Amino acid sequence: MRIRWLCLLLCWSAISLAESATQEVYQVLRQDASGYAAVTPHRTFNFPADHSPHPDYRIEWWYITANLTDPEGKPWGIQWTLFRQSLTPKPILNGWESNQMWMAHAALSTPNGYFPAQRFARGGIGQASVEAQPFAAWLDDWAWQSHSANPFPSILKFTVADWELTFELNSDKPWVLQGDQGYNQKSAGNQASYYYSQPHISITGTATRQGKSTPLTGTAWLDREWSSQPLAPNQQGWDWFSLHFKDGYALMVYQLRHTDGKHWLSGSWITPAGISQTLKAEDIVLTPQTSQTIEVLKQGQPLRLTLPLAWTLELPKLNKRWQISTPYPQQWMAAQFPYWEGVVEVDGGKNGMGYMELTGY
Amino acid sequence: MLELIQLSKAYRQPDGYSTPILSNLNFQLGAGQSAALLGASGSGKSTLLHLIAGLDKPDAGHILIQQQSLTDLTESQLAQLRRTTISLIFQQFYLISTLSVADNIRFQAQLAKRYNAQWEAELIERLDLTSQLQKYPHQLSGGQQQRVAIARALLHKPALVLADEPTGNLDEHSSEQVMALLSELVKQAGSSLLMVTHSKVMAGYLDQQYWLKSGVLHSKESA
Amino acid sequence: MSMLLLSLKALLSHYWRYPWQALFLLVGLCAGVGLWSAVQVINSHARASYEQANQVLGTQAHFWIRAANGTGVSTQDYTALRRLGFREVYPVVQGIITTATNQRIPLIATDPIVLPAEVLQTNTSTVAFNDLAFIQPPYQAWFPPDLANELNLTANTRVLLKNGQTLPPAILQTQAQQGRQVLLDIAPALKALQRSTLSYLAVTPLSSERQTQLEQALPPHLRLIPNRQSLDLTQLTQSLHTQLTAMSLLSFAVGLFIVFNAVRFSLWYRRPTLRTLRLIGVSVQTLMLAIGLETVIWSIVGSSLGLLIGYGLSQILLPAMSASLQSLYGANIGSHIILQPTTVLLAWLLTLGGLIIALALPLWQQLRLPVLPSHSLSTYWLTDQRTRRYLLLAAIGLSILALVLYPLISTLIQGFILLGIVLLAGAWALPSLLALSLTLLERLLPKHSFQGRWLIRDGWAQLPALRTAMMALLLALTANLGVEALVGSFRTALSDWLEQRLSSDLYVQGSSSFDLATLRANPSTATWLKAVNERTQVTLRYQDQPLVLRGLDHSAPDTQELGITQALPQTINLWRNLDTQQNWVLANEQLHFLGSKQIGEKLELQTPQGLKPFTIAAFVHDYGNPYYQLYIPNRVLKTYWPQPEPWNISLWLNNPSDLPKAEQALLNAGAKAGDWTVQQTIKAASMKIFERTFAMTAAINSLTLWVAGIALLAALMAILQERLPEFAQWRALGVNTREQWLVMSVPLLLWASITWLVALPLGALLSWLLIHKLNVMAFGWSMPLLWSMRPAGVLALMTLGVIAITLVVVAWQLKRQLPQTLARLGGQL
Repeated sequence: MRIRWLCLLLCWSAISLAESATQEVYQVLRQDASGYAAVTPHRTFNFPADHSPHPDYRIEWWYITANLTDPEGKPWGIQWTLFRQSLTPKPILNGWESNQMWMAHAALSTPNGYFPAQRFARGGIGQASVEAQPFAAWLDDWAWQSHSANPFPSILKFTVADWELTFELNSDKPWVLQGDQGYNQKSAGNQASYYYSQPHISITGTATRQGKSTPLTGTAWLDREWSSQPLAPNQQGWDWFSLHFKDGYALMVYQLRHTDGKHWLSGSWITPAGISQTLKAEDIVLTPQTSQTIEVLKQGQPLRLTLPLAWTLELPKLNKRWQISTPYPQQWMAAQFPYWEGVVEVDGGKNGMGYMELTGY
Repeated sequence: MLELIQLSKAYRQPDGYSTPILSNLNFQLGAGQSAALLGASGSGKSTLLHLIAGLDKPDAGHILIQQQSLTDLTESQLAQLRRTTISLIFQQFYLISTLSVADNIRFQAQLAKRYNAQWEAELIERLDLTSQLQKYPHQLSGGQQQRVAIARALLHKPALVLADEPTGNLDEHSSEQVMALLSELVKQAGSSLLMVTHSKVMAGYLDQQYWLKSGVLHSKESA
Repeated sequence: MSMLLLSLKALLSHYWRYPWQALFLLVGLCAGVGLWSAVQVINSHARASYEQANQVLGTQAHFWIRAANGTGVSTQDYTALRRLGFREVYPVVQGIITTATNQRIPLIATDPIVLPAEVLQTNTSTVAFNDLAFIQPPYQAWFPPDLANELNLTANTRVLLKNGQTLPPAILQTQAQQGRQVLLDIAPALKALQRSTLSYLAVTPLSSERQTQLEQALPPHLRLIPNRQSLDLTQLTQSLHTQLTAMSLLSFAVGLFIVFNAVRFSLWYRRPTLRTLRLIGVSVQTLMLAIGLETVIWSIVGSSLGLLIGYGLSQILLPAMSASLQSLYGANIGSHIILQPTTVLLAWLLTLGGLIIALALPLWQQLRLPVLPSHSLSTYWLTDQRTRRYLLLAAIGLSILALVLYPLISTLIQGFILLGIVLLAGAWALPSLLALSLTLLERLLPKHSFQGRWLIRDGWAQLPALRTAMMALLLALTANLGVEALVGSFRTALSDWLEQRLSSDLYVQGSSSFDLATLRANPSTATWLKAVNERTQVTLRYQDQPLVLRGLDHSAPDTQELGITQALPQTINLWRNLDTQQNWVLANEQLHFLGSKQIGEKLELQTPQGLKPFTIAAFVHDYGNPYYQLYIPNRVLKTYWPQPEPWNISLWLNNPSDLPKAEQALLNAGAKAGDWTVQQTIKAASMKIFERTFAMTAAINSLTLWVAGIALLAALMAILQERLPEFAQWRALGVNTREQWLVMSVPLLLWASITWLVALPLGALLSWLLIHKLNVMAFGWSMPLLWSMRPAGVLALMTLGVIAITLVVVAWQLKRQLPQTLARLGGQL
């Protein structure tokens, strides 16, 4: 579950430096969805068409995270995300009058530091878009480009700070429809999204800085989600995990934290072949362990923030239990809507690697 | 000629109290007569002279000059009265510094249109100003300046000459000289003279002497 | 120390007893400092804005990307650069829209989403785009408040345009460097302008490596051009600012005259105080220190109040100033004025300097003199003759100096120094002229007129007191007359020139979809179209300044009538002759006066084929143009620059009544409503720019006159104070009111008339210098001097008004104070 479309509504404050409190941000997200297409169960997904934008829906994203290893065996990670928003119902797709708005977040995690970046663009003029034939997603020179309508194989190129990053992505595994055949309910009410993933992507490439290139390989995860009104009034933030296990299995788990403490939990357990099993709240036990205090920036202000950076994750029915922790506590995406997102290790790296996202802290 | 009836004047002090200077004062001066007004410093001699010249206004009572009451006159009528009927002689002479001695002598007579060349020549001669005519006041001595002032005051033969310590700024010798000339020339002009002085010697040159004390006039010093 | 405080207290108590003098001292200081600092504030504000001219809407723009042929940059070209990673590039649309009521408003638009954020973060004082409303229908049109005022706009009004479009709802607020332009998002701007391309791309600072990369990435039809606007603006507007500074210094000088006057009398009054203080044992040093302290106190009070007034004044004057800077130089002046510390310091130092000369020096001098015998102020005339003679000698010396300097003057500053010398010479010669007039009047009066003689003699007594005020009046009158003549001459020259220049009936803007060939191809066109002039342009740099090459049709009616100022024989023929050996061009006067070029001289210009020589055949008038400009027949221009930027097309009609027919034909040929302008609109706009430019000059000028009026009032009030006992003596001698007024006012009126008379030739001389020397050096424009007596008449009336007001005030004071003084007569003074 990734609700970073929150940030989209804040892209204007990228210019205004508005000091909106996070609560206000949520308020915007709980806006009435009337006029936009509604998310209803039993939708038939259609690939590759569904890789393209769905402008009738208010928000949408293309979300790549990858766990990588350098020649010395040290963990690296990348995040590359493109968000789309329809500012008003009835999409205007072309020209300067377009009501499509784009935002991108990218980050590189290295043993020597974390490098985040964000960008904004309006739609309709070609500065940012996602196209189907061949598949391409970009904002300025941050680009994910395939040769065909299928997103894989493809090239992902972007820059953060003075790093130039180029990767080849490949996957031949089936798409994983999350929740109920891609209908992803987010509360007991009617908050929901369409959600599919590709958890099994092989990735190789280089990170280049000051003429020095580091070869990197690993596994990547793609999430695709779109919706029109995805958050219930009493949901204050979420904790989200995508994990790749050494044995080829993959796991996605999230909890939406409710103000009353009754959190909304969901997830999926995916086999190496890409066959998924939906996990319900009663299937998941997610317990925060130690908290850590880190120095972060929120709306440009330095702040000390305490985050649950270590967790115990149990799937009692599958008799699984893991310790999740991060080797790099400083993976704070200091964007207009800031959050923690970065590389995590499963049982200290023995059993796997993954990405964790903590928002609303 | 000059008649003062029940004349009163008080000065208001800054603290609100008023100090009486003259109270119900009565006085008469006939035509061609001269009188000296004696009194201690601050007794109100100069105030009385100012009231008679119309430079100040009394609180009560009447001032009659040639049967004309001053209190009934407007400012311009007063000016007219001063230029034709009254002449003032001050301790400080008050000559007009930008005008020559000759022009200063003629000043009032010219304004009053009563210039008389013959009388002027006589005055100049009597007052010994012949060699000073083209000079300017600042070039003259004090005694000379007062003689110019006397000439100016008498040239138009006013009915009444008011003199306020005319010799106050002069040494003894000049004072007596000036006083003798003044009393003599006033007689010759046919004017009445009322003179304020603190000097009994100077008062002796005039027909009558009065003492101002406690706001009232006395004909004897001791009263 | 206590002695010092005692002395200071004794010195200052004077102002408590004579508040009028304190008031006039303060008025003099405030008037001088106020006007000076108002101009200073505006100048430094404008200069600061030029420094920001390398920014577009608060973002550094060190380069432009423009289309080589001037047609604009397509959105595709822009996004292509962004997709190549050139995030230093951001889009700008600029243009002029015509409202339904025929007002022309400059407009600027950008995409706020891509304005580089790091620059915006440093911009603390600007209002930010914090609202989606700016980039979403119905959008917003941000109007700077003064522009909105001018258009009578209220918030949320939608301005209707001539082309049928409407602007988004008006918001009265501004963004950095918006200037007097309406700010919009790109989407509504393109719609309002009915355009599809961006005007240019702005580029933030680039490293040389990055610059090379960008140059290589540009398609051949786009060019990367360094933004030299900041430098250019600073250079181009320098003259204007120097001129304003000179005017403000003049007001400061007039203010100082008031101070002189006020001090002269306070000096007189305080002589006994100084004497007493010395008698009770205060040392001369302590007294000097006390006087120094008094001077400092006055300077602080005066400069603070003056700055306050100046700041307020600058707020009033700024809109006119920024409007003319925008239209003349394209400079965007922000509306947020800050009083800079240097201005404050300078104002204080100037005031202190002035006060030391006017107040401290005379007082110190007084201290060194032995105690003088007391004589009245009216005997001062005895020594005044010597002073007048010295002043006259100095004036003659200055005049000779001016004559010697005249041929040597080469810079604007030197020009103003010359002007200052001439004005000062005139002012210093005035007292002798006033004395002369009195002597002449004395001769004219019948010998036996005693009152007349008295009047003249008293005039001599008044002269020392009044001559300073008359000198201030002379300066103000002269400056007014001079500037009035300059403005009048320019107005006439400009409107004649516009008449000549703008002879065509319709102007079609370049870069529209209008196609002249289509229009000409239509057989019915010939029924209404008399002539056409299609103008193009190429912008180069010459002598490190912008140089515009204007391509035009050499046979067009307005080309035939270009206002030639200097020419070789048969210039036009030579120029029309497409002689490739000589390449004749016409040049604007600016190139002659500012660029020191002569007829027949060759200019080496950078063409796509390398440096080529062009020969100047003639100079033409080109009022209001800050740039060098050459006129070349299109045919010649195109041989060197095959793709010049289209500028505009002028159309002459056979008959004015053909206008509707012509407009329909333009629409048929692809033009859109609003693409063309009728002649009257352009003429009116040009005259408006001119009126605005001189509005500030006129404002400062008339203020100077009022300051001089105050100087006169101050002088008369001081005379009244001083002479009141004397007036009382006159009264005691039977002088009546009429006589007294005659004596007081006749010399005053006589001298005011003489001053006015002297101001006429001096004003003419001043305007001659302004027009033939300073204006040419400042702007490179020449024009005939037109002298009119009308402003002189108006000034005479104004002077009479000032004198009348002054006399009324004095009369009121006299009436109030005389009875008391009369009563005190004869008492010990």
